[in-house]
Order: sequence, then structure tokens, then C-alpha cells
Amino acid sequence: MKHLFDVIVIGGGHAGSEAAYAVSRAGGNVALITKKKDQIGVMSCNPAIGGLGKGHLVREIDALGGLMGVAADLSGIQFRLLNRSKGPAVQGPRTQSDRALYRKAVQGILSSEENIKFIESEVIDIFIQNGTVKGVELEDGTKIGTRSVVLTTGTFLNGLIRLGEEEITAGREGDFSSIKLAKKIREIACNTGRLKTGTPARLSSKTINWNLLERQQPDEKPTLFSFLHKKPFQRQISCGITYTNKSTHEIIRDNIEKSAIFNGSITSNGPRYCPSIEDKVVRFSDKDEHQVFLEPEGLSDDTIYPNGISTSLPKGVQEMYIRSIRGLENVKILNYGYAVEYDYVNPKSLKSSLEFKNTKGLFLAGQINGTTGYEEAAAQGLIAGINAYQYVTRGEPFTLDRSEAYIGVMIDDLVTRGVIEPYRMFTSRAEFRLSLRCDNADIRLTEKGHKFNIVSDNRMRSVGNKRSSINKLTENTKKLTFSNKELGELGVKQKKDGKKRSFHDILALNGVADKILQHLWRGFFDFDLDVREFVRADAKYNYYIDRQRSDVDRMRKNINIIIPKDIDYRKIDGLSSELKLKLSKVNPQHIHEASKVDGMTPSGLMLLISKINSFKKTA
Amino acid sequence: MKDTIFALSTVPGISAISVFRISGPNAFPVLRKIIKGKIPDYRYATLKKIFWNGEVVDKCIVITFNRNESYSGENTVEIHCHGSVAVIEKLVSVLMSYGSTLKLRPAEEGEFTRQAFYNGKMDLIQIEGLSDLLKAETEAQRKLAYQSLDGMVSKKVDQWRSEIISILAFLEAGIDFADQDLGQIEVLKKVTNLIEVLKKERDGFEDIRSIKEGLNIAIIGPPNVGKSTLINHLSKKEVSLTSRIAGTTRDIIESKVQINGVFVTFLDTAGLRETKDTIEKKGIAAIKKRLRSVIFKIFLINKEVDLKSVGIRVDADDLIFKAKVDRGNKTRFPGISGKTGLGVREAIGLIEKKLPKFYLNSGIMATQRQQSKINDLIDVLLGLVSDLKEDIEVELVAEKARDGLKLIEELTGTIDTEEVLGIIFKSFCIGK
Repeated sequence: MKHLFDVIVIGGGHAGSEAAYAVSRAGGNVALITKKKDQIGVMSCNPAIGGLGKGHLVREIDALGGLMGVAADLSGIQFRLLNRSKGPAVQGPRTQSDRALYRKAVQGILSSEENIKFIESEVIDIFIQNGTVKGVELEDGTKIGTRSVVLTTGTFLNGLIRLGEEEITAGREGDFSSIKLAKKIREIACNTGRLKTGTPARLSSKTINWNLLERQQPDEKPTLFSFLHKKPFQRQISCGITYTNKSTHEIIRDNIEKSAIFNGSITSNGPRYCPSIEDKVVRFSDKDEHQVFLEPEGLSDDTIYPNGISTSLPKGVQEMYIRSIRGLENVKILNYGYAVEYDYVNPKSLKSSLEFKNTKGLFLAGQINGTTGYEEAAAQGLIAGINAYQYVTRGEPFTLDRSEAYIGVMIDDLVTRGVIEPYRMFTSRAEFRLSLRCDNADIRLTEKGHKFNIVSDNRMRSVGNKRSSINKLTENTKKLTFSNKELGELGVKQKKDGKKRSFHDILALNGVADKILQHLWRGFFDFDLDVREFVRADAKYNYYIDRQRSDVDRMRKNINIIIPKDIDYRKIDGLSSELKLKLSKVNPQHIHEASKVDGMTPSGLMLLISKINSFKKTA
Repeated sequence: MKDTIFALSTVPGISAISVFRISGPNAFPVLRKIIKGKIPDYRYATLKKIFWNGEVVDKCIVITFNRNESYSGENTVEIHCHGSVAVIEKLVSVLMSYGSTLKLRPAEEGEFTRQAFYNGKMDLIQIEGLSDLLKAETEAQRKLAYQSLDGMVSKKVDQWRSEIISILAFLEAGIDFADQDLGQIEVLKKVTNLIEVLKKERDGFEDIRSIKEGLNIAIIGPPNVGKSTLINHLSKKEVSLTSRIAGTTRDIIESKVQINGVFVTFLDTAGLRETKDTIEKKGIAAIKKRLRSVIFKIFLINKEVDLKSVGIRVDADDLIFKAKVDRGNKTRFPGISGKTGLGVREAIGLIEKKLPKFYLNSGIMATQRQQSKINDLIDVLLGLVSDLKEDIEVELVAEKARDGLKLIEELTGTIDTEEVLGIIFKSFCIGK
């Protein structure tokens, strides 16, 4: 078996697409193996990209030259900036995408990459020799050699769909599930588990009584994902909002024992933050209604995604409760909702490069690592892809730490804590939230990406320009000062302390209108919006960011202590035997990772650090 | 391999029993070298002869603890030998002789407890409690310290911690789930409630200081009115005189006595007289300063006009007695007589009754480190409240809650312990 490829990517979802694209940008030759080529980049659940925390991930992917932000912009039909009324650090861009256009955009981008070869097949085996990936076997018996593999099989590993008492082996409605491969993965990983997720029924738009429903409008000034784009490409549309009611809840309660989640057939954990409608009705029994967003799946698509009522109830019950909802009295159901259970690999068995600890050249990304969401999957795909290629070229791994990016937060959480429910990004997971913003993802990451050849020179130049504009604007805003009196006359709320305030200080204040700023210094508006936004956010968070920086430094000091591979935890006295066992099992790469081991105490960590120090001295 | 440590855990000198403790990976191998037969079962007091070069050193009670059950979290051996200087010295030299072969050495100050902390057996508050307990001289000090050692204080701090976590969670929910219909999120009330709880705790700081350092009471009256006699009575009767030092400043004599488990220092002063003498003026300033620290004053007078001539104001909590009542009482105040003891018992009763008011509201944060964290925490939460009221962006409010959480974690030593530990283990003699 000859080495044909640098990297084989198994799976053509959001993780797989991003992985293949990253390898190709870096210059590697890559095969993307998927069962159906026309399904590459499909949005299998809700037709939306971004949101709180997730929007940050998409911006970071874009800053690293990835495809998700671009594809979302090309297909976006309802851009909305969430948390607009809150500060810039917690705002999250989101869009609804036309499913067909999104897929088209992804496929368009990938097929123009000469380094990517598409193979339409199913991988049934992965060859491993001496703990190193050597190749894969396709369902027709073809064997393909490769130096590395990125596995992004989503929910297809032992996927089991449930609707009431019906069971279908499949990873996604209409697809078959990868059972053979799952067996192989179990052999390799030995640490796998089951998770569940769910999706609602899909409705026919024509049969909805839209006149009865509230509408949610897109933003007047849309915020896009990619740093390259300023304006949407598609017509912007609104969605409908409706609510469940007492009789909906009654129907669900009366049939609760028919739900796969409640009748005992599903025991695996689902996401607490994305409960099924039967979960909501049971757990929050005091609520008389739950919001349902009716989201069109495309501009010329009759399908409506009813966000908020995912379910595993039998078809008949779904029909009954959906039709009890205002506006949906006569609705036609195009596809029924279902719950899906699938295998995942405990991500603690991965390094922060997403490579398997015990198998060289095998990388995992996406839902197989216990995450949920397109954005989480894509971000991992990007990291796994670039690292697979780094592995092949013997380069240093591309990793991001918790102070650099949400991607770093996510991967750190995954590989050091593992998951017990599907992992989703939230802004609250980021301890350095005020500095990890959507508006500065490019400033944070693009240069680093460029060093690893995944960012174009073009992008790199534009970030350089942005940076110098930012510096110039910051400098100017600090020089320009105003007295209490001047500001008072313009109606700026301030402490009357007789101190002069710089324009920079004023930017940090709450609710100072553009009109006032214009009055104070017209030149401010000569700078690009993204530059102004950046400086404004920095002014607002300045004080906090400075303080956090010292935390970062302290954290970095520890992170950077690499744990020698041949350390013998059994010989560290003072560590409890439980910790010794766990450390030997987890085999952390650095102190930061060790700190996340269950039951790790600060004192245990200190012992470990001092042990490493003495180790270094003797070595 | 880590060293095994040993120390004499009791005071050296002649006593019925002295206790040695050996802790570390080689604790059992060391024991095996110095006894015959098998090592006693864990936690069974067993009579064993200790041998050196074939000769018996002493007959001792030996107890072994495996590391899951020991104080330090390491394998531990206790040897209860006879408390003689010769036995102790011999045993030390026996143990020292295994120093190089079994990596055995005398423990540093506080090393057993440091091990206990490293092994998660105690948190910082508990260690501070232990240190206080070892230093406790009075019943009230013992009670206070034991609460810390026993983990009662840590439990309370844990409650505050979960309160802050829930505040943080509420704020974060408003950020991360803004796109969902969450209903009204009431954070302000939660924060103000927690502040109230913490403030009550802070109100107790002064009382704790009273318990740890004692209370000051001034006895004021003209010369020769019988102040010293009263103090003598106070100390002879239900109280014990522990020290009697001539005051460092002019005109003040201090007497430290224990009343109902609390140290009370009586400041004996002749009062303030009008004067132009600069030296005496300095003395008066010192007295005035000293008087600020008293919880109340006892005036001992011959006649009512003395109250004016001593030049010190009478406050609501103060007590006034007529001295030398055996010679009659023309004042409206109760009298006492140092000579006959008339009225003394009643006077002591009055004093005792007043004391609890000054320490019974005691909180639980016993050390300055703990108290300063609580103060910081209150400040952070007050800042959080004003942020909420001023509609500051929620992500900045959440930042304050995150700071609060960090403070709590510093309190129990679950984070950033490096510095704290250094200070603690240096400044206390702990658990040797």
C-alpha cells in the first residue's frame, strides 16, 4: 500500500470540510471521503450559523482563513447581532442560512481547491501499525495509504434514530450509520460513550397561517461573519414566532410515556441547554407557553424549521401537538422530528492538537468528540486539519490557549475535562471573555494562522492595515481631551471631578451617542467601522483587560511547564494514589492540562511542578 | 522518593508519656527496623519493645495509620514512649541512624500539616483553625478555633461560594441565553442578601478580636480610692490573675484577668488632671488614646464631685461605684468596700453581665487574612450592586462576580495558594 495522501479526511460535514480546506491551504494533498458528495456541507439540523459564543467561533475560523464565515455570508438570509444591547464582548453575530446556498457555497469553495480529491465511499477500516496510522479501507475493499487521518464522522458512529418506539439505524434521517467503523474506533479509543441529540419536525411553509403570527425582522444594518465581507449577498427575510400553549402541553403530557427519551429506550445524555419539547414541558411545568421560531430553510424552499420543539415522540403525537399551536392548525409535516443516539470518543484521549494520544497520525474532530453544533465542529476540523498536516511535515502543532481564542477554550475544555453532555460553546466558558471578542478575532489570530500557511497574504495585509489604523486611532483618541464643562454642555453624563477627559475615556462611557462624538471630533468617523468598534471596545474594557493580563501571564507561566514524557507519577510522594492513577491515565502534556484532571488540588499541582523542576535539574 | 519525617509531638521534659510521630513513605520500614515481629494492624494500639543493637530502648505503645486514615495523608507511625529526657534522646538518635538508608529526617516546622494540606486533608481555614487552637488559652478561644478546625467555617464559606456561583450563573444566563425566553432574572436581591450575611460576619470581627486579644476595661478614680483593691478582689474571686505589669505609660497599671473564658485587661488610671507640665500632658494624651480601646469604664469615687474632677466623660455603658462604702454612702451609686468586701460580689456580677455584649455576636472569620478577604468580598459585591443599579453592561457586572468567586477560592485556598501558603507555614508553628 503506497502513501497516496498526506491527509485523509473521513466525513464531509462541517468539521470534515474545514479540515480538508485547511490541509489544502497549507499545501497538503488531501482526500475527502464521504458517502455522498452532494451532501458535503449540509446543515443537517437548524438552518442557522453563529449565535452567542458560536459567533465568536465563526469569526475565529474566518480569521484563520476557514470557510464557515464565508459560506454563511454567501448564504445568509437573516443576519441578526445577538446581545446588541450589551457590550461588544458578548455580542454574537448569527444568521439564518439558505440550506441549499450554504451547501453550494461550501462545495464551491472546496471544489476549487486543487489539493482536494473527493472520494464517494464509506470507510470501513483504518489501518494502524505500531501505533501509527497507515491507511484506510473503503467498503468496496479498496485500500488507500495515507500519512494521517482526520476522523469527522459526526453522529454516524452507531447512530440510532428513535421516534417513539420506532428505531432506525442511521446517523441522520435518510443516511445509514457507520457500524463497522464504529467497532474499529471502539478498539482504538477504548473510551467511548453514548450521547443523544434531537431535531424537530419540518413543516411546509405554504400550509402555515402566517397572518396570525408575530415576525422577527433581520437587522437593518447586518453584521456579517467574514472579515472580508461588508454586505449580505442574499435577500434578507423575517421569521415567524409562535408559542406552544396549554393544550399543546396537555397532549405532550398525555403521551409522555411514548417518548423515546421518557420511556427508557434512551438513557444517554442530551444537551441540557437544548431540551426537547417533552423535556421542557415536564421540567418547567409551571410555564404555560414556550416560544417557537419558524425559520425558513431557504429563499425558494418550502421547508420551515420550527426552532424550539425538537422531539422523540411518535409521528401521530407530533402531528397532534404541532397542530395545536397557533398558526400551525392545518400545517403539513414534511419530515418528522426524532432523537438520535450516537457514539462519541471521550476527548480526554486526545492531545490539544486533537491527535489521539495513543495513535500517531489519527486526528478527531467534531461531534465524534462529544460536541454539538456546526461551529464547534468546524473549529475543531480546522485545528485537526492543520495539525494533521503539521504532523505529516513534522512541524510544531498548531494550538491555541484559553487566553487566545474561544477555539482554545473549547479544545482545552474537551481534552482536559472531557464531556458528559454534548458540549456547546458559551461566552461564559471564556475566562478572558473581555479580550476574546468577535471584533478582534483577526487581530488575535490571523498572524498566527499566516505563519502556518493557512491564511492568505491578502488577508494578512489587511489585518496589518487594520492594526496600524487601530494604533493610530487609539493614539489620537488619547491625546484629545475635553473639560467637564465642554462635556456637560453636550449632555454627556460624567462625574464632575474637574478632571479632563480624553476622547478615549469618553468612548468607554455608556450610551454616548454618535452625534455627540461627531461634535467632539469629526475625524473619528473617518476611520473604518471595524477599527472604531475595536477601539471603542478596548476603551470600555481597558481596565479589566489590564487586570486580566496579569492572570494570563500567571496562567501562561504554568501552561508552559511541559511535563516530561517519562515522568513516573507513582513516584511523586504526597500525591494521593487516586491522583497518581488518574495522572498516569490522562498523561497530561503540560501543567495546565494536569490542573484539569478530576480531583486535582492546587497543592498536588505544586508538588507536580516541583517534581518537574527537580526532574529537569537531574536530567 | 520523598523524605520520611519524624518529630517529638509532645513537649520535651519529664512526663508520663512522650509521643513521636513518623510520617512518609518509609514510616513502616523504619518501624520494622526498630521492633521485632510484625507491624501492628492499622489503628490498633499495640505494646511493642523498641530495640537498638539488640538492646531494648523502651517499651512503647505503637500505633500505625495508613495514609487514607492518617493526619498527614501519608503512612504514619506513632510511638508513645516514656516521657524521660534520656528515652527521648535515645529514640531520636536511633531514628537518626536510619537517616541516610531510609531517607528519614527531623520534620521542619509545620511539616506534618503542610503534608495534610498537600494531600487535601485540610483546607487553609482549617489549618488556621488548628494554629489558633494550639495557641488557645481561654475557653472562648478554644471554641472559636475548633469551629475552624472542624470545617464548620469552611462549610459556611462553601455556602457563600455556591451563592456567588449562582449569582454568576444568573448573570451569565442573561448573556448566553439572551436569545431565549428566560423570564425575569432577579440577581440584585440575591446579591444584597449575600452582602447582608457577609456584613453580619464582619460585625463579628471586633468580637473575635476581643476573644483573641481580650477586652479592655478602665478603672478610673482619684488616688487611693481603692482601685487596686478592687482589682485584687476581681482577681482573687471568680477570676484568675495572669499577669500584672506596670504600665508603660505614666499613670496606667494593667491587670489581665480571665472572666468567663475571656481575657479582660483592667487599666488602672488616676484620671486626668488639669496641668501645664508638658511631660504630664504627654501622659494624658497617652491615657486618652488608651481609653479609646476600652469597652466601658468603671468609675470608683468617694463623692459625686470626683466624677467631674477626674476629667473623663461618663458614657452609657459605664459603671459607677462609691468606694469605701463601709464608711457610708452619700451618693446615688452602689457602693463597695475593699476592706470588708461589702458590695464587691454585686459589682463583679454587674461587670460580668456586661461582658457578653462585647463578644457574643462573634462571627467565625478568625484570622486577619480571612477577615480581609471578607472585606474585599463585600467591596466587590457592593460594586456589583451599584453596577446593576447603574445599568452597567452585564459582562462587566459578571466580571465582578468572577472576582468575588476568586476571593472565596483564595479564602479556602483552592486557588492561588502559593503565596498564602508560604506566609502561613512561615508564621505559624503548626501541628508538630
